[in-house]
Amino acid sequence: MENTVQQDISIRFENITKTFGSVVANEKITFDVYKGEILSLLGENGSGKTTLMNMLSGIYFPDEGQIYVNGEKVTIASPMDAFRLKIGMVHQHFKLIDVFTCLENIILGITNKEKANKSNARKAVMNLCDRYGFEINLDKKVYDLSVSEKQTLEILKTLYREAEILILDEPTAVLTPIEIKKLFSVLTNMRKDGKTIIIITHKLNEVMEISDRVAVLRKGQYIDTVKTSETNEAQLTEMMVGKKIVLNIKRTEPKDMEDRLFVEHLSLTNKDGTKVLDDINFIARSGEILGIAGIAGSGQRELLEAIAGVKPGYKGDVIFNRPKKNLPVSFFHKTYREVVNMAKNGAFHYEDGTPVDFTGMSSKKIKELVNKEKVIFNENEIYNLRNLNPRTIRELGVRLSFVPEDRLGMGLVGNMDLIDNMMLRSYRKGKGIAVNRKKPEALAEEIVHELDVVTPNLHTPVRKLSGGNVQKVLVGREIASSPKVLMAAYPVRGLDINSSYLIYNLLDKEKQEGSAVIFVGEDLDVLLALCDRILVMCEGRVSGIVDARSATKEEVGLLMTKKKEEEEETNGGENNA
Amino acid sequence: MLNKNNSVKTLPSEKSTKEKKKLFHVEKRFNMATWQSILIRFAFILIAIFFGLLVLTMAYGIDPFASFGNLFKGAFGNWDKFWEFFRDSALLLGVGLALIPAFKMKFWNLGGNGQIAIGALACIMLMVELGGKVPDIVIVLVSGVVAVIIGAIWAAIPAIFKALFNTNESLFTLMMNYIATGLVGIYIYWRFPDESNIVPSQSYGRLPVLFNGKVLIVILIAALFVGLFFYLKYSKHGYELSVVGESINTARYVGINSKKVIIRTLILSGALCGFVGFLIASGVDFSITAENTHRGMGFTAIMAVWLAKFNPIISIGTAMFITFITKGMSQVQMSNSRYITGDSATNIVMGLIFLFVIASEFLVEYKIMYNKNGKETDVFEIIGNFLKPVANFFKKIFVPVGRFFAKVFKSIGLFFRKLFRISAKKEKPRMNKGNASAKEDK
Repeated sequence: MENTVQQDISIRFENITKTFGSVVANEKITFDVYKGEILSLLGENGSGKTTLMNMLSGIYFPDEGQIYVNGEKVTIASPMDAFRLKIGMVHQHFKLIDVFTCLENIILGITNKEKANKSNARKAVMNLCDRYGFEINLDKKVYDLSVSEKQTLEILKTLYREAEILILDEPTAVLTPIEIKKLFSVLTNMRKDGKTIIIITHKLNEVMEISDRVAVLRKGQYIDTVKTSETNEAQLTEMMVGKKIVLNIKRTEPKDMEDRLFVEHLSLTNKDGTKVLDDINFIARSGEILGIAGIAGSGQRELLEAIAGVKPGYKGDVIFNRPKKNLPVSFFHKTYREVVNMAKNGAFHYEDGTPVDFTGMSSKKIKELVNKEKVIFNENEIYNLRNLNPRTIRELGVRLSFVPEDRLGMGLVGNMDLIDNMMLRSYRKGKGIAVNRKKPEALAEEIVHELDVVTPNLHTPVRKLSGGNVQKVLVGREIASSPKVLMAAYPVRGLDINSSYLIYNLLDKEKQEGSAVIFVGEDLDVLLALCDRILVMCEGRVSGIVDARSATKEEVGLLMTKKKEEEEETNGGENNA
Repeated sequence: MLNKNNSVKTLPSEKSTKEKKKLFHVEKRFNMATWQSILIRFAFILIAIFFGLLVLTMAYGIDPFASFGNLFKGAFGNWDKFWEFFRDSALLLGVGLALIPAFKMKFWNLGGNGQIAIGALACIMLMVELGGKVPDIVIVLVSGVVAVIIGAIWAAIPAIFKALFNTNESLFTLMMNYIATGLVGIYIYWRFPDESNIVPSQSYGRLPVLFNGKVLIVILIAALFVGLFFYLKYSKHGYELSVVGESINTARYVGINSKKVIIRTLILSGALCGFVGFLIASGVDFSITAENTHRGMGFTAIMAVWLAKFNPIISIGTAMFITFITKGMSQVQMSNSRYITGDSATNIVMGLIFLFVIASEFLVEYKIMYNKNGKETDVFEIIGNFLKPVANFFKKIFVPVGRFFAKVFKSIGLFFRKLFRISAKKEKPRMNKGNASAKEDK
């Protein structure tokens, strides 16, 4: 059967190129989709899968190249054109109207009077349901539907529009395993009926299960198409992530490693009840960069936000080991009684090793002793940061910096100038009700000078700066407090090469200065070149921790798409590092 | 509708030029000089007044030139009116100052009217109940404090609900207005059943008279202005509230407790409104009605601060401008009372002015490009070219005059600088630096 079906070409892409500004999303993509097959379009985040399909469904228009449908040259300038060519797309974020019923959503936008008639439509849709095995109540309002029902409705919508070519963008991302099975059986039914189906995905196991052929994109470029029956997961991963590229990123050898941050059994549940983080365990050490890899949305952002205290309400512990041993004692935020008690428990000793006892001394005398730097800490201080808010963490004296993914929406205030943005973390310093802008101004000047921030002056709102400069301002501020833990989420996203390298070097410098750096990245090449260890996340779990110096891209790529059962054996990787 | 054959013919390159071939299109404007934007706004206000008077002329048959004169007569006609103008501007500014912190935090406090009314009510109740029993100054102080507290509570209620349950603050504050005016009505009905919905003018517990009974209010509001200006610009609280207003996520990121900030700011906002209510009750009206005590200032002030983009200093100008138009138009209406009834004339002109000012904002933000044979030019440039001779003429006259004044001001400035050289030493380098870099920028 396969041989006969694959003769007819349903869609042909020829030299399709699409750029957004300076970013090339698709570059000279050429391949065919056969009639009556299920084709998986496989690729990492940002490899251009969705862009390509959006051009097929009329949302974008290609800059160059030609699309053929059933052998004819076509111009798809709008979704209406796609509709006329019988192409239907189910987007990742559904395009439904919440307050309408299912039936109303199905006939919405249909100009043909016969077809737009509700009773006609109902009959036809019921027929479709019988034919392919959909289950849906057409009179339910969309806001009452579950996610999988919404998806069913989207598919029905395209089918009612007599779509012959169906594109599904990450259809399984939001479904439970049982729902996925159901979806796959429907898709097989549709294939039997001669429909052409394209599935955008990055889940290898599903690719193997459902599709006839796999087309792989990587960084906007078309790699190859292979028959599913003639390939395996390892080969696909290699195609997806590519061979290791040698990047000239500076990576110094870690020194004076010390366990700095312990994350233990950290679990986080979203408001809608889905588990975003599931029993995360790792240790971040000072003097090394711990990379975090994973498909976008595997919980990396939530993990950093939880540690930084931005997303409280998690279970588990975040334990900060504050390096104090053998350092001269100084007190912040401590009362007299607390200090005396600490001394009683043997927290301090004199330079010659004799223990300190403050009992009975006046606070003045204690201060005198301490100020001579004769008193030394005996042990490190241990803090549990569980569910503390960022301000409290800071007031404890824990220097934890966080460069969030959303720079202008979270790390900075777009409408404020550089100086005011410098104050975000420190504005409460100093007595009195007035803020002191002198230090922030000096800091802003220093950052502009040292990191070559291009800005008209210090009073420019940061939103007017270019992306790279915004990031320099943010990273500069976070580094300025000489953090003990520095977390950065996608710090080079959208940056040009020079700015990216500047950021890599800054991270490496922080590592040398003894902070524990946690770096969430997208580009596996960068992760492998910059980090010392890489923690790989998959669906909110740690699927493995590997040594970045010896690991291969394929290894990491496989871990990124790993299923849960295999996690046990890879957890041992932590010990190797 | 495209059919398949047609669609083959339209190549991508053709299509993209097709889209651009509109006669006019709108583009975002960058780097507009401040004086240009001020000029645009000013021109639009003049056009609006012109149109307003034109409409009135057509609708009521009044003399537009005389009306234009009346506009000024109404605001500055005599000393009494002059001071009244300043007092009313100050009161409007006071409400504006109350709204600015809330609005900066993106909390849309539409409850100014209610907060003023409830503050005034508290004040009047104390005047009525304590009048004659304790010294006036005690009544003034007590009623001032109570009005401020009550106003604060009135605004804090919706703020607490917003902070804890994320209720819609616009609706909530709006509804609180009706409750407040209702309470005023109930009080009058209960305490003065024989009067027609008004408390008789109270003679005890009035605000002390300084010169003419208007100056003190202006001074108090001026003091408030200074305080609030520093609060917003230089205090930690002011900084926090602008962070919360700009982005709740950033507030979360640095650990600002946005719930606390919302409630705290609204307490301030309500307290200031309550204070204005106190000023009106004990310094202007000495009485209260359910409908008119707040003079709709809770809404008018929104326009004032919005036009000023929540900048307190510019708010002085917009508050004065709105008061000027209101007062001027009521004079226009009075001198034509045979034709115009009610405050319809005022409302028409005010509406037109705001419409035009909003339109001018569009032109400050965007430019309209005119497309002629593929060549695009800014519409303003075309108009500018027409007006060039006129502009040159004015330039000839005004530039020498301007230079003369610049010289005069410069020498005055130099004189003062010499006078205060020692005391200004500390601040000067920083100020100069900011200015210098700003100049380089241009």
